[in-house]
Amino acid sequence: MIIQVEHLSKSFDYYKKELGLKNSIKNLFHREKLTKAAVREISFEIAEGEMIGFLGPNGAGKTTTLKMLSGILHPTSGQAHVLGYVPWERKKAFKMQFAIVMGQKAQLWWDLPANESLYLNKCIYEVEDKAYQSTLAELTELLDVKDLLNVQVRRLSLGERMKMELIAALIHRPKLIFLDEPTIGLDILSQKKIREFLKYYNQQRHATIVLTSHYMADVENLCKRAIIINQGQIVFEGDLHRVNDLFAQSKIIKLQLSNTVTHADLAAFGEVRELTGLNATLQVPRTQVKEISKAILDQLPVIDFNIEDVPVEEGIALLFQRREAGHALA
Amino acid sequence: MRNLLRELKKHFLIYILFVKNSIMAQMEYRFNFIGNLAMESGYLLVKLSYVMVVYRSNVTINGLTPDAILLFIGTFVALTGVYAGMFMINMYGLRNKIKDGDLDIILTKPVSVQFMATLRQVDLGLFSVDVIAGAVMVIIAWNRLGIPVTFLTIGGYLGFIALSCVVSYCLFLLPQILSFWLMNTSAIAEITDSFWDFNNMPMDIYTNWIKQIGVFVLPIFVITNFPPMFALGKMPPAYMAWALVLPFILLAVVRAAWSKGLRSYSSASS
Repeated sequence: MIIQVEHLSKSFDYYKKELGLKNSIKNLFHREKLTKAAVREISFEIAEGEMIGFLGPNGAGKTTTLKMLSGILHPTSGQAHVLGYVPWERKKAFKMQFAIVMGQKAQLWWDLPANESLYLNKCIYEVEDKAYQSTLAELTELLDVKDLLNVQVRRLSLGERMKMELIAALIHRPKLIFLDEPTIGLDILSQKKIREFLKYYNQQRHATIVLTSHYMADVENLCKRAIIINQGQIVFEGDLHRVNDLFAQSKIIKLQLSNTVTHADLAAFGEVRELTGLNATLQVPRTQVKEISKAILDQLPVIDFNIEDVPVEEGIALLFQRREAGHALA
Repeated sequence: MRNLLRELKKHFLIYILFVKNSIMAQMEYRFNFIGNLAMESGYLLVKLSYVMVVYRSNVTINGLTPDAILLFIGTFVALTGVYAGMFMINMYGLRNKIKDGDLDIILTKPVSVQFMATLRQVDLGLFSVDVIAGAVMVIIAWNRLGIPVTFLTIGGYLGFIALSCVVSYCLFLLPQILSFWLMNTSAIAEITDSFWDFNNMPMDIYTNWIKQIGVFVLPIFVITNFPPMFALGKMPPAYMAWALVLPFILLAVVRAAWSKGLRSYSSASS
């Protein structure tokens, strides 16, 4: 296992301030210290060459986990071994083998062309000239940014900049890559290009990739396994498409009709999720799909018929809701 | 030992790149760059006029002639260039890096985090004007005082300048390290920064007990007084020993404080 995490927790201290100047003055003399548990007792393992996704809402603890695994933060308690090292000991040999890309944080020099920052990274990671030239040529070719190497970073688009950030992070060919929201704010084409690149890189180099993202498509397209985290705890770990197995097993039936029908006509077969003109979507129990399908085809003017799983996003949303409800009751 | 030398060489090469990148980044904005050079050249002339002031006023401080005073002032001006152009610019940025979580990426790099966070930027304008002006003053004073130009005097003077650079780096970095716990230390930094100006005249203008505090307790006087004192042959043995020990003590204190601070680094939510 390239990453082993056992009961890892991280808490942050903070304080609250009520509205207004009076409370600011009060705060000068007394502050009530509060503690937020950002990550709570999480444990998991990641194998070499795996591409794993961390999913979760804002403030779930995804980035904090990544920061602990990359040695940026010390945990409050628990243990982790990454590439055989304790990350927060920040050993040089450990740092030489991994890279982190944070969608919201840049490492390129803003006022200089990207090639100057890339060369600096070459020296920082002690990359040989020949290896540097070949890696640079390969990565710029793959990400289609060869012509932009000499352009000032501040003049690049967000997508181009993120591609350069990726190159800067990969110039030393790391075994392990942490990607924190690498596609945040990018247009669909740039997102797709970066996804394709990551997939290719993972396959070619057998690099382990740990990815956090708000975009379901990132994780769905790239990762066989996902860890879903909410309120600092792991709520699901495994194949993303099995999230729905946790619930009451529903199926979605999508219909295209030749004549209009009423809401009541459809409700006889299951829960009506959508009815717009000649298109309708029904949610039905998985165990009764066969019978209900037969009845729909017999009784409604159907010209097209599709049975689908409940979208993964909805399963995850249900997962979060269930967790939050649990907390509210606790 | 071989590893240590290898690491030192690597850090030196990276520092050269930092300097190069800083200068190139400033050059990207041509008008601003040339404007700054013109403005700093004006300052250079103003600073060089200090020479006239010293001789016109013809003051003597505790037996120090105007030539000797010029040696002190020249050293102060040159070291101000080093401090402002190489250290201050990074130290002011450090508290924002800590507050905004911008140490994150630096922490993952296989080089000294302290090195990268505190020496990454260089301001050529601030550095060059003061260093040139200071060097001119020192050379004039050196000649007029008739100090022999030997390996011992020049080497010793430059050696003390190097030690002064280490002392100033450590002394002014320490208050900034408090940012790891306090987040915003601008007030403390402004107070400690104002201590720098205690050096703009020889420490002999102060009473004895202030001198001893400034040398041994808050060793601000060590920075710009010791190199000229050595060149003038006015360095008591106790000061000599202190000058050789102090940089190592301060480096050890800074390293310990830095490591402790870094443990408290809480980044910032993204």
